[in-house]
Amino acid sequence: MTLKKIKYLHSLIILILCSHIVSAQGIEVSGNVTDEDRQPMPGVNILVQGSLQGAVSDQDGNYSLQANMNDSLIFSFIGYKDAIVAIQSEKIDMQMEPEAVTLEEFVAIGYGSIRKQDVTSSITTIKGVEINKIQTNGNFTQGLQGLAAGVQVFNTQGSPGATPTVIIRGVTSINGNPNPMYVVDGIPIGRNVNQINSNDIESVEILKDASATAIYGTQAANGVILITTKKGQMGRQEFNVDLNFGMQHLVKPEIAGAKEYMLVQNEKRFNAGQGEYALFSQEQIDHAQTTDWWNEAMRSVAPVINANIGFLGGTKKFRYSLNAGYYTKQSQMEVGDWNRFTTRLNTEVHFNDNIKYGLNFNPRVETWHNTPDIWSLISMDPTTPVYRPEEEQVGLNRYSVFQRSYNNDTWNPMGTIERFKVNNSSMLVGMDVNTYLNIRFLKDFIFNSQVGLNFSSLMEDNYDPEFVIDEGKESNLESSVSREVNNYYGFVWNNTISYLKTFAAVHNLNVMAGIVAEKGKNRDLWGYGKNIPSDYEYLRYLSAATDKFSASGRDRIEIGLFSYLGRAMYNYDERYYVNVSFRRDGSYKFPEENRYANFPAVSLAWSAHNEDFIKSYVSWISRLRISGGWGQVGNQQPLDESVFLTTLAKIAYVYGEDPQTVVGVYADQIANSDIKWETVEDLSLAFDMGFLDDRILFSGAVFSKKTKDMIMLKSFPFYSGYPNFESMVWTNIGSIKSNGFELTAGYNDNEGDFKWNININFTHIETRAISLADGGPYYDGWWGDYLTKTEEGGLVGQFWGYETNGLFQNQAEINAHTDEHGNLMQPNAKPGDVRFVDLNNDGIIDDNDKTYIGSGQPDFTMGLNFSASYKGFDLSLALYASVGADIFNTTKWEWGWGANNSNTYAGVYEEAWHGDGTSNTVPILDLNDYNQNYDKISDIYIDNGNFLKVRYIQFGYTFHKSKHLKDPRIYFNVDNPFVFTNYKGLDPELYGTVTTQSIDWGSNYYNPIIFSLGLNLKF
Amino acid sequence: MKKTIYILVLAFLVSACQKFLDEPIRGVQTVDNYFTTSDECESFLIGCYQGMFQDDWWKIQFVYLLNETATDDAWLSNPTQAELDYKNFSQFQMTPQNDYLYPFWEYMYKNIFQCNMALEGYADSPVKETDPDLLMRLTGEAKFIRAYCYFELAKNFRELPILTSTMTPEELNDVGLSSQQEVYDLIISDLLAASKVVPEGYPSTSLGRVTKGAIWAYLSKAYLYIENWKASKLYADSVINSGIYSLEPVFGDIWDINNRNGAESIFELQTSYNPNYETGNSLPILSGGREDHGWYYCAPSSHLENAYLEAGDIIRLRATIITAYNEETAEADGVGKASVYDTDGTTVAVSSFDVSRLRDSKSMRINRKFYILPEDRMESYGHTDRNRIPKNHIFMRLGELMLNRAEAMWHMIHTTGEASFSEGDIINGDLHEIRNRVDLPDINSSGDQLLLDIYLERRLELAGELKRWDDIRRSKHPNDDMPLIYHIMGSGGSFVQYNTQENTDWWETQSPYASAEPNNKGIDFSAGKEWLPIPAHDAGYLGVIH
Repeated sequence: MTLKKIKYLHSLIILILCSHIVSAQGIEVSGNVTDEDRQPMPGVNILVQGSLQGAVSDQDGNYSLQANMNDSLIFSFIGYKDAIVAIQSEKIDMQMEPEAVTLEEFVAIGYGSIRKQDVTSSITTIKGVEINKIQTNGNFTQGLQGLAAGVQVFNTQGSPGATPTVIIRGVTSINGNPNPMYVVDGIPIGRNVNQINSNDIESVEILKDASATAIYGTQAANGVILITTKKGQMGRQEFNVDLNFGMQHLVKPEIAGAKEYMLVQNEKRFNAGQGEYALFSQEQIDHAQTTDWWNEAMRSVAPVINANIGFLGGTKKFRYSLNAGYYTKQSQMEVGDWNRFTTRLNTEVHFNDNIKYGLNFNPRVETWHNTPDIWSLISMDPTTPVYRPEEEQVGLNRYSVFQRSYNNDTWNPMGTIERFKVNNSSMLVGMDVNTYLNIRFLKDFIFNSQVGLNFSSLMEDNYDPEFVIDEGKESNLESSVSREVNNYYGFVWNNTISYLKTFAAVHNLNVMAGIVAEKGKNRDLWGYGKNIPSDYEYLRYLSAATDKFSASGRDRIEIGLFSYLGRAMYNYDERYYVNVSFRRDGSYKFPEENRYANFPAVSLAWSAHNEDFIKSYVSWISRLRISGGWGQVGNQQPLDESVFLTTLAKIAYVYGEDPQTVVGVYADQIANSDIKWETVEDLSLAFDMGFLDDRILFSGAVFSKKTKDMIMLKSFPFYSGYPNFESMVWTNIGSIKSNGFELTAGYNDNEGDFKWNININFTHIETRAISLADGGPYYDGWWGDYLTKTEEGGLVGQFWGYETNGLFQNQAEINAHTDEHGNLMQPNAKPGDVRFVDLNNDGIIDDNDKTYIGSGQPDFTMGLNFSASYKGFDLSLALYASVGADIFNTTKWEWGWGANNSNTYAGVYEEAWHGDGTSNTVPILDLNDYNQNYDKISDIYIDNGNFLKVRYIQFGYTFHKSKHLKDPRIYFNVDNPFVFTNYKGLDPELYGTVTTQSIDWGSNYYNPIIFSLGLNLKF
Repeated sequence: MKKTIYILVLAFLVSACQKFLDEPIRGVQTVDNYFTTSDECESFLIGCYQGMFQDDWWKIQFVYLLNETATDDAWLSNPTQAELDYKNFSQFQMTPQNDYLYPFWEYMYKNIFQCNMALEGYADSPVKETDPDLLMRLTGEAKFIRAYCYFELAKNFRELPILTSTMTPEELNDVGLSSQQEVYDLIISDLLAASKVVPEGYPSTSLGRVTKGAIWAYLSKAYLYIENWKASKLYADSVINSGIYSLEPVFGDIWDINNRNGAESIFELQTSYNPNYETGNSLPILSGGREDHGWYYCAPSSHLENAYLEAGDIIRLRATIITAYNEETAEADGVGKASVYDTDGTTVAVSSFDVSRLRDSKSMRINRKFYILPEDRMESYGHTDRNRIPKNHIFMRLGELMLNRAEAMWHMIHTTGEASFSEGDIINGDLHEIRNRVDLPDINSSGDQLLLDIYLERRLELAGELKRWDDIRRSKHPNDDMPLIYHIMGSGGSFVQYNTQENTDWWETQSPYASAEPNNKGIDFSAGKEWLPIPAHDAGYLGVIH
């Protein structure tokens, strides 16, 4: 029996028992009861302890009753702590305190919601308040990092509009987007949530295992995140203003100045025996002038602003919630920004107790300008000035006044910024409309019909101005303009009937069946033209182009699903639980015979804490649950719409004395007419423990997800002539498996003035390949050679290359590195070169000596979240750590060795080997590199990727005594204040694709430190 | 009653959802119901023609260039950017994993697939009834292109899988390697079939399609490769005697960008500049100077230049090599000006072609046959439009065919004894015409020396046209009956000897970039390396062990 029921009975029994006793004479006590927000609380039950007197507060929270001096009053209300006060005066006001953990919490599950305690699958709930603590994030999933066990969030980009990668309990497919499916109030919205204003969110449910997600069938292989937006409630009115103003700052890497650059580049030539072709004379070195490209391009800070206004409220018949938000983030360069304006209106009309109708309306506008990447700020030759000499600038347009790099082919970063200012802008206008009708009939049945419509229009404008910085290499001789318009229209129609009933007080049954139809269509149009008459701002449109027009456009179905679903949940006396769910999905992406697939799931749970022997004998155990689940989910994501068709594409040739382009066709793709779903089979086992009224919480799970019929590009022999790229055809062929476990420990103390809580979570996931197309291996990460190799049975995406064993310090060491006949294994080596290991001992260093040199998968990731408050002050802090991942640092090629005459990190000149004993890790600077120190993919590129990041520190103060405002709060927050790592590159937090995890390509606009000030006001 | 309603509702839902999921693909053609009209049959062939040289540089065109760098005519050049896989071509260190080898193999087979699909489509097409003549001609053209692709493959790979139909994955399992003989049988039977249905010429709007003459020329060449000298001569005769083709009077005009489908051209790649399609040729960019929008691969060698100078062949030298060599001082001074001669070989078209623009090369020479004079360049030359350069590429011209015939005739005299003519007929016939055009006297040699002179003539005539790689592997030295490459490459090879001992060319031996490409290029050649390995990707399927 729930606490709620116990409480009711408790009050009832007391009232009944006491009703016949004559009241004692005394004083009249009266007062006002308010809630935590100092709003009047109607319906609070007030009893004189040990007596018969009782009263209930009225609509305004007022009460009065008869009692004796020195009696005690007990105030009680569901969801609030009982308060006991000795009567010292005739007026007793009471502010009720909410109960820390209300057992009545409801949790959204697919197509419904259930009480938290009845959940048998792995679902993590995160409250909106938790997510909204950090107001600097444009995408709320950034804030999920380290919050939930089993959920890995990679915040790899810090540029405006960046989207993190979210991976729930490991990946299930080598291809496709690894992000989960997002569902807002029952309507799927895709795999990117930049459009969501996090201040709209009431709570987020992360569905982690198949017993929770199977009801979403084919879209659920990567897990599902359910977002519930804020709804108005009866009798409560609120007006909130939240403002946050932040300043971002990217920590500057240490980059070599002109002098060191010159020394490095000269050294490379001296060591290559080409001293006479040294790029710089001693005099030039002595008078070196550095252009600090980073400082030229970067402002010291850039703003990020988040402002929100919200109203919520409701009456018995009508509830509403309205929130308007504006978010803007700029890049630290002069160009690059992302702005989002959203409003959300959620309304619900209650015709009567049985019929509800709701309308959620969410229009939004996003605009952005792309941010140039930061690669060239480091690579650019520092001896080159920003601008050409003044006399050369005469007559040039503003894009052409820049100096071409003197010594390498890197494009002038300031020139790039100048063009970026004009050359791209995007705007997305979108609107989600979600309506539902909910009818209760025959007492225990509920019919729900929900239609979600999603419109969006994305418009991208590009303009490439005419410019000449260097005619051959850095120029655009014809200006061009293009516009792309992408209109998306999608709808979802959910129809469900549910049946809820308790039999004989112990058999609780909840059954649901439904039909779902979903379709989404993209219509795009693209136009392009060249030679705009001038650079005049208002001429940068297609209609002004004079030449070489082209256009294209088509309709593309993004999703087409028709599904049947069903679920039965049963529990016996809230102790033994069985849940079964089923979904049958049909998708347009498959040929008719493979169109439908079934996705079943089962889960079982035992709530031991509801057993008498625990309740009675070990009362300090407040929670003890064991649950397990099995299920299948599907995936169709990697496929486009035409895999089962043989298609033709346009191609042109030329005929005629007067050459005429003739357009014809070629076979573009051959069909796989057997293509079918990927299936992920998921098994998990979890426990959940609480002690001392759940003050101490401890939970964990082990899980295993195995994908079969994984959709992979199978490569047929090239002589097949199959026209697909590299003769690869999408085929159901592979299998991978993610195994792991997760642990969470929490402590919270909500008593007294000093309150604090801490939550630590730990996730270990390991993804292995079971079977691969053609028996594998699967190579990925092209960088002149493939950087990763995935083999059957092995970890997915391990780095593959040569092992090294230090550097040759002198000729003697080179001479000692021989095969069994005394032949030199590295005849081209010189002192300072890398010693490659002859792993197979065949006396030759070749491809057969390659081995696994590292893995980009972390051994574990960890989150720590701490918050404390004392009276008005509050402090919170979050840490995130990743341990065990190796990084393949491609930037060593340029920034560690100066390849392509690129500039380097500061200190390279000294760190590189320059004589016996000077270094055993950084090879000699040598232009020729006959030994292929840097040409061979080897472990000299591998760095330790461990890091610990302080995600944020927040310090706030709440003013409790204010006349007009309710508890205004101000706070100061710092995002990313500290990173602890040995990694020498820009940022160790990396994620590319499933098989190219943790490769540093050097162009990431990494995460800035953000200082922000915020204010929350309530009226 | 209620039950019936439920069943009806259910039936409605099931049928509704079937319809709901039947989404046709929009804006993309599929092969279902294709080949139903004449236009569709014609359109499919455009893919076949285009597939011979492909649209993007790396698919096929670049491989011809890389292969040429393994000859004595050219260096790989561009030492600062050349990838290891490029060097593997030029230095005989080819591996089956090479990333620039497999596209050539792959795209040739893709085009064979396209031709097979065309042939299958034509065989079942209703156009057979409505326009049988057209369909017959298209079938012939498709067969020619299929034969062309197999021929290009057969010249480079010792054995090949043969596919004459589009195959399902299961059917592929039964495909194995076929011998050169079997491949040439297919090539010749396809060419013969095509020659019967393809016309001698087309209306001017269809110029560029394969003609009977072109097919005969390829028959002549294919027979030359299998050393059927008589048949080779026979088909060469057919072309030459047809009177359709004649030698270009001015040698330099042959490769002039403005001389499209010239008098001498028998079959050539058709190009145009089109902003929407890549219907151009990328070779001028790939071989052009680094500071002249080019990538500078495959630079002519001093060895080739010397061959011209020794032969006193200034006209063809100037039409083949742009050199930084200063003719007046006979010295290379490193700051001089390179001279580019106009197509007539006499006037200096660009008096100050800055040598500094030739930076980053082993040899500082440029292939004149691919070079385009600045005034002939399109506006966007070298920028984004590297695959759109409207310069036709000649696959087969009369000059080559005449030299084929000269060689076949020599063999008919000396090898098979089938000849009813003498050496004088060769010298005064085809060789005379070829040499007379470039103001050279007639050859005065006989026997084995005559054959070597025919080979030399071939080198001087065709250098820069990407034929040398094929020729030095096919042509056999009269002394030992081994392909020429065995005499040119390897430690004792003439080219290796020249570069390691005799070469005094300042650029190739002393310039800053000289050391970046080894002077002993070719030293790693050994028997068998004249064949390219079957790419690693396919080797396993074919049971090839590398």
